[in-house]
Amino acid sequence: MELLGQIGLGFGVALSFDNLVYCFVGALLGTLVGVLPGLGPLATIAMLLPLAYALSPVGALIMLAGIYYGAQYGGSTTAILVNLPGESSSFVTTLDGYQMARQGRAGAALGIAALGSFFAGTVATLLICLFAPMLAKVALQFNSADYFSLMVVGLVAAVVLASGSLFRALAMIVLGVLLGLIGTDVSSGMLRMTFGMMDLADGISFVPLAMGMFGVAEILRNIEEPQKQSVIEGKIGSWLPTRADLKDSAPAVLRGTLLGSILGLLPGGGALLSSFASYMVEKKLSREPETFGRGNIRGVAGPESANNAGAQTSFIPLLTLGIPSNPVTAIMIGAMIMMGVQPGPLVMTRQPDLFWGIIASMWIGNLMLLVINLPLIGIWVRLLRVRYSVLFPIILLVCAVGVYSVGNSTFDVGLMIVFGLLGYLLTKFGFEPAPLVLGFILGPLMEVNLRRALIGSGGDFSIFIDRPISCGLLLVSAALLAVTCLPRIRSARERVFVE
Amino acid sequence: MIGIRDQQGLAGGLLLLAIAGGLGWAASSLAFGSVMAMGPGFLPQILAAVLGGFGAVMMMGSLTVAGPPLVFRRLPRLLAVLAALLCFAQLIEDWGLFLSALAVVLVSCAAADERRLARSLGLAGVLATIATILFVELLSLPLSAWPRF
Repeated sequence: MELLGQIGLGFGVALSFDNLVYCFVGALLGTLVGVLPGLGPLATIAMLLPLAYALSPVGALIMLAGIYYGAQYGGSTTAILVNLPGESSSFVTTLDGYQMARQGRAGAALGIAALGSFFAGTVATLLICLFAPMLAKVALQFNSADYFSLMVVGLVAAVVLASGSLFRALAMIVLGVLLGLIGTDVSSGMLRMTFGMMDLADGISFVPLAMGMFGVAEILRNIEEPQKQSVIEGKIGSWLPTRADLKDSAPAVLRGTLLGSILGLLPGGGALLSSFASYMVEKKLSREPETFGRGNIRGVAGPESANNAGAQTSFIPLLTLGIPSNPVTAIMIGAMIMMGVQPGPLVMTRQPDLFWGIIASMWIGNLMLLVINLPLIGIWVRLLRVRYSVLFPIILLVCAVGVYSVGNSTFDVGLMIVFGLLGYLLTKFGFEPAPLVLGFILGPLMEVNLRRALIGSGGDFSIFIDRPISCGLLLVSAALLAVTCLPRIRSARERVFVE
Repeated sequence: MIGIRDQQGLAGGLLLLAIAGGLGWAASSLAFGSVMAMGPGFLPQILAAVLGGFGAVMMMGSLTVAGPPLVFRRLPRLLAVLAALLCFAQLIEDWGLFLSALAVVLVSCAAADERRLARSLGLAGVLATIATILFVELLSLPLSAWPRF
């Protein structure tokens, strides 16, 4: 019954007029920007991050979460209609979604994607309500050694699940942590690695880093390699799935939801892994695997449900442990810290309105997506035809104004340029920017906890092994690393990312 | 045979080494402390060394293991994008949002596929007007719209 009261509190917060508006604006903006070619959820959130500054923490996080779902949904729209995955997790959707669209069933594909996502979102939200409080209670037992080990698991998982080379992902994490340490050292008050720039005394700000790495770098890549767009001409078809469609896809939606909910919990998992796993499961279980890749509705329904469920449950580690499990939640943590909310198990007890309000707004956001988006498909299709040569000056302008307006600092604009260039070069050299951002967020926290743990133990590293929680977590990370290095798993992993 | 077989690896390793060198140099004057009382330089120095190690290993690896080539295309256009942002940073404080926005769009249009002056001017004018109305009037961000004299 306590739970009902808390959910009630959450809905009370989320249903207040202001928060409903933020949720709506977030979902709409997210879809709008996410549908635009060449802009994935990461770039979208990074670009709209400054908007959050004007709001209260609750409102801001509700809006950011709305932007996230919206952008993800927009990503599947581009995947189906243009054969362009707006982001890696909707890549699988292009396989069958685009084929469906070519057969004149774009509407059905979009409809089932939206309905499946909504169902998955509902289930995942329920799961968060049930399990987040339990996990938060466990997390209250954590001391600094456990926290340090927990973050090690998070970073290791990010490496294991990165799509490129393990070695390069590790290097990116180290670089991210190093960048995170720039600025004033908390315990000694010394300026570190600022090269005499007073603007760096508070460290590298998160907004220019995220906008540069994900916004500007993306523009540079798109200009270098223009993507050929072929928006589906002709009929979209009704978005209302037929009875046969529903019957066909219901089991896929259920399985996708289950898979996604579990995989989303894993640090580093989230949407990407979920959608790949779901697609493979559907193909394996199907009686006619050869129809996959030729417009099988299950190939859309399963992965789309799975990635939404995964996106949703990846908020559990964020809200209860304060650990980001993917770049998007890393951005959310960055936003929370900037707004003076320290993410972690205490959020739930100290700021229950924030905690439950966000959870309730997740469900409302999913509902809004369904209501806003399906009837507006026509508009999104028209947006897809916007040419990139018109689009990217707009994105640049929004990024510039956004990053400047946060602190009225031209230095931040400069930082954004530097990180845009760095992000572009890194991808050129085969690195992925996502682990860097995770390291950047977690680095300073890890240092604090490491220092505390070692002071407590008198400099004895065995504290990390003596405490059962910490020891267990370290074993998990070791196992993850070892498993990835095994040749068989390694080749399977490569195959998954190649497919 | 000795030769560069992985251009991406070589360049990536060089980049890591350069960053590690720079940050390591900046952290070298900080107190290292001890395991029991970690100084401000403890992690930065260790991590810079590790990052440098990664860079060195990558560079060595690029001599033996083949990898994809490194190709840069359309470099002038990429520079135009960065230059547009640089213009914004230079102009925004004294010249106001309208003129800065105009500059961003005009300069970045040099990176577009179709470059026609009239079209770029039109786009710049429209976007600068919208941006001024949206950001200054509607969202009332702390920006001045016009030059300060």
